[in-house]
Amino acid sequence: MSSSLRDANLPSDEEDDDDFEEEEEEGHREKRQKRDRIEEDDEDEEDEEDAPRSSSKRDKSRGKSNGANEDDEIEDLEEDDEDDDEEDEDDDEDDDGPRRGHTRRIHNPFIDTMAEVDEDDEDDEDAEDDQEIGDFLAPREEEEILRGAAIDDRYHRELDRRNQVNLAQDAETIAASYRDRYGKQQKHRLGDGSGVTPKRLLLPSVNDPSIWGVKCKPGKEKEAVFAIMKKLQDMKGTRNALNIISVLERGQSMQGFLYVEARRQADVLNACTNIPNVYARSGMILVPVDEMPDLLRVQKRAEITPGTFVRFKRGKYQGDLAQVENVENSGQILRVRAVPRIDYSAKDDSSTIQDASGKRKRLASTIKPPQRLFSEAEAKKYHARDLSPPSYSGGRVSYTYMGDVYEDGYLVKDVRITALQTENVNPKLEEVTRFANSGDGNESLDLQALSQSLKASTDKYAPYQPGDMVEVYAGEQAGMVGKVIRVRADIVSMNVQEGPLRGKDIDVPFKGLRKKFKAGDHVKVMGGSRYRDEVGMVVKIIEDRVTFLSDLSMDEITVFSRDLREASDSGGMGAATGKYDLWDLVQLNATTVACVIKIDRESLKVLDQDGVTRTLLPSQIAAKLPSRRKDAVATDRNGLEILIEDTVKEIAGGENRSGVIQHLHRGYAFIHSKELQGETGGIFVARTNNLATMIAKGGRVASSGPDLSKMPEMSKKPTGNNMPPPVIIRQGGRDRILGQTVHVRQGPYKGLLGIVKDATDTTARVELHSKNKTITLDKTKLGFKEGATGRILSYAEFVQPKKGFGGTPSYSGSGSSTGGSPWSGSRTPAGASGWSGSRTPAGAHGASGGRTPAWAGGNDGGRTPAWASGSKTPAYNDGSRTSDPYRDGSRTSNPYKDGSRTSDPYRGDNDGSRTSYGQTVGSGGRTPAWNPGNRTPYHGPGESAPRESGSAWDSGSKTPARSLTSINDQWNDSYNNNSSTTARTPAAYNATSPEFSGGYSAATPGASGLSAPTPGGLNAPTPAPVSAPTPRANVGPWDAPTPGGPVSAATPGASGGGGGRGGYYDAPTPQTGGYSTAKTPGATWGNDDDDDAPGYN
Amino acid sequence: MQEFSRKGCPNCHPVLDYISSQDLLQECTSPIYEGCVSIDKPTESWIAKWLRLDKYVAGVYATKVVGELPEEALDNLGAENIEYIPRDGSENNLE
Repeated sequence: MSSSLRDANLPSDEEDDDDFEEEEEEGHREKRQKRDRIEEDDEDEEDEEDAPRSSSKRDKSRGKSNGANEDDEIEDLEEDDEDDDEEDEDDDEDDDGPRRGHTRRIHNPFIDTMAEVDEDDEDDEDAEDDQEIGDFLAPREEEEILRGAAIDDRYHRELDRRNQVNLAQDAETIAASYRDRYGKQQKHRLGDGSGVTPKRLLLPSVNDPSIWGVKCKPGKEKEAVFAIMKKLQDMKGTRNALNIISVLERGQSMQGFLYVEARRQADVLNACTNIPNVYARSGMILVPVDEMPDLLRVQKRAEITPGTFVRFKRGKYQGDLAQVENVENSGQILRVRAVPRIDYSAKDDSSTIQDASGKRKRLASTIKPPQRLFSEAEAKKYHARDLSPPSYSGGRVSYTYMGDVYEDGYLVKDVRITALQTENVNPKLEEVTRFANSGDGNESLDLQALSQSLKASTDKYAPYQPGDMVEVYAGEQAGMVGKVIRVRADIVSMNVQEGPLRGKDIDVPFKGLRKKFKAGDHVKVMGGSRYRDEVGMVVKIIEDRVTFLSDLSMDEITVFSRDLREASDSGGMGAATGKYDLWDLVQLNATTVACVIKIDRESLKVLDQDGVTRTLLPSQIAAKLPSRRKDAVATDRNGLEILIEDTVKEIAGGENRSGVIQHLHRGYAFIHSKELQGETGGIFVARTNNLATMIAKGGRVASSGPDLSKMPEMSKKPTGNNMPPPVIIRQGGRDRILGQTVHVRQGPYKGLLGIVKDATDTTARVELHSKNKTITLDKTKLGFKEGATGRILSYAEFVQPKKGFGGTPSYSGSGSSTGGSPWSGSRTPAGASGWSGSRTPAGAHGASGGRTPAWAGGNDGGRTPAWASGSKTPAYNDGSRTSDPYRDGSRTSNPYKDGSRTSDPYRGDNDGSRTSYGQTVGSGGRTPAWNPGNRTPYHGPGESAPRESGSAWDSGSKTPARSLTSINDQWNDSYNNNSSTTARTPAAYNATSPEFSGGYSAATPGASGLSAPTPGGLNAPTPAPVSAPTPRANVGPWDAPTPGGPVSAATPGASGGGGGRGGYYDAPTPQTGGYSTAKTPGATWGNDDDDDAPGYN
Repeated sequence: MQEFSRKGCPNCHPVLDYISSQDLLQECTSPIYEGCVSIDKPTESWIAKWLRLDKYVAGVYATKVVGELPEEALDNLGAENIEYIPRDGSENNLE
């Protein structure tokens, strides 16, 4: 094939062009396909060819399909695809080696003029090309020739043809050569190490694409990125190809945002439309250029190695320190060791009470059991089932308990790192020491790890202050010792004190710096440990652990040097003196208060409420209580009101000390005694009910009693509300009320009948007859039908087994129980409120009050005789005397007593009421009373008994105050009470005697009243109702026996201890008929007395 | 993922041949990563440049990867004169 031929052909080609066009179409396509196959083409030619061709083709197809747009579209697409491919190839070529570029450069000058010719020529040639491939060779010299004869068209043609040949070369070889090149380039790319480029050279410029932040649904960022990516790929090559550059998501640091990199905002919007969870339209933010690097900043997370300390972020162990034992799953899961918090008994409750579990469990979970090492014994005790047998491995014992593994007492748990706090853990030394005695038994805790986590943590207080001596222990300047001049952020400027650099100032970062102390230095603990404020002398230094001998406790204490400062000699008295004064009342913890008795330089000496002297640091004191709460009131042993600054004397249990009250706190009085000096500085502590007023401040008359109107209880109308209804203690065995047909006497279901299905101590589940419903009711709200008589009995009555007089049981339950219902009315207020008001803690006992101990005391020795008498007396007295202490309570009773006094028949009731008091005490108090020795002697002796009863009665009839005093006098002559009661006593006494009998007789009616009133009493514990017959009634009979007791004892004297009871029964007998049936009490009493000691105790 | 193990990583292929060695694949990839960048035009993108991904193929990459390459892989890279920049771990391609 010669070039001349070509030339000759040219013009004709040109002329025929139009005709050619159509025919050639097919040929073109083939050609293009071929080219595609060999993946190479010449850009210039291609472009020029393409334009006309595609347009003509479009016309053609349009004509054919008659406006079938869809087809049209598709074809367009295809075409586009092809174009794209070609473009891609072109791109590739651009990247290609220099050879191509070289030829092109030569080409270019001619393109404009030659293009058309070329094209036609090419078209023409196509057929020939195939044939020519074999024999056409392109010698290298060709180029030179070309250059020489640049103007000659032929050469151009030659060149073109050669290019064509190149194109046509075996596709395989070309592909292979490309692979070579490509592969090399790949290597080149990676190896070229764009990494070498420093980041600062990569900082974004205005020429870089912008980044827009787009809101999206938090947590769905990644999905959205993939969705956009998918969309991008799907749309690629279409007309609507997305023009974005990249999509970024930083789920961890920027939740709810996507970042799209693009040139134009419209592209971003376009990319984000129809992507679920992306809210592009709600506004997007252009990320400022200078913030772009921040967007991509990654922080290296501190590496976690076994031994470091972490904290739990949530759950039961929230805030607890744990030690990493092992790192698993590439750091995602940590096996940690922690001190367990197990409530061994808790599960029990929640499992038994299933129905209420919802509430119950939540309740349980809010309470954090204290940290304690796992105890096999405890676990066995409660949940033997849940405890796996121990397994021993590597000298460690491990148990599985309730699904958790406990190793050597520690909880070992796999926890996700996200549930742990790994930074700023700040472990305290005492927390850490819990982990110390683990593992192989030696006490060496991993201080290395500890100090590591400590150092890493930034503390709240600046660890270094100007003037501190510091030592560099790491880094270039290790070993340098100097004095801190100033501290900036975490850089310390120090003046070197030793070595060649002496006198020079250097800057050192905190890291690698520690405080330096010498043995013998006087140091003070600054913070970060529980030894805060402790002062002592350094005795030993090991690295950054300093051991010093505390000035205070003389203990050796080891802390980190970072927590220490040199104690300036002048700065001694700081905290201790500043905050507290002598005789201040301070709170040590929730239950303990103490009085400051001595103030030292750094410490305080206090006397706590148990009479123990302690030396404390100011930091160990929880709070200072407001000084001298003037309104603090307590009652002394005699029920008299005592205030701060009253002069009191210890009358029980002590050494007869006397002094002025400095503080009253709950049931304790801190008293300053002038005579008493010595180590407590004259302060002693006593329970208020062991005290007796000697001189009341402001000349209050001892006998006047407190101003009742001021008592808070007075204003609270239903005193009874305060007290829980007495619990009738069920005696062992099956609850008698199960299966009983009962009558609801109170509440919304009042009047309905039902059957008891289930019962607890205080409540019953009643299945109603009328409604298909089971309700839970207070037992006391139920009425029980008595089988024989059909009478409705109260729970109290019902429960007590009948015996003897039938009455027996009712009292028996327990003094208190019996009283339970009836009393609740009258007694309650007395007991609960009365005491609670003034001396809460004593309270419980309170009622039994000073006496309680007495009972015990009875057994106690010491006071036995006196007390006993006293105590017993109180039983009765209690009634009377109690009234005083109760004041409030007593008050309650008072009005009513008065009432009772008015009417004779009520006498009995009175007694009752009073008795009730006695009873209150009763359960405790009575015991002794009835019990053997004590009373007997006392009562036995002639008059006392009558007197007693008299007084008791008296008290009943009289104002409590008086009775009080009177009793006191009678009983407590020995106490030297200044009451003037003696005179009154007889009177009372006299008065009573008649009443007494009357009382008895009266009791009968009371008895009758009983059955009905009992409930009444219960229901309305209010004092007011109390005044109503209820209490009386109950009490009356009840009481009646009480006095009866003594009476009988006195009267018959006959029967001695046991006899007493008999007597007692006897005595009531007449009346009993009436009341015993209902009234059990007497009987019970007997019972209890018989069983007696145990029963009461 | 399967696709990844079948086709390998176009970026690391010459150096780290995942296709022939599953172990290597396991060792050189990490399940722990943060951030997710989908890059369409690595050459244009500043993000790609910043992350030094501009010479890589288009695809989805992570901003942060936690993990360590095995010694031999590092040696391999060294032999190829490639500087390994940990992205708080290794470079990684999430396919």
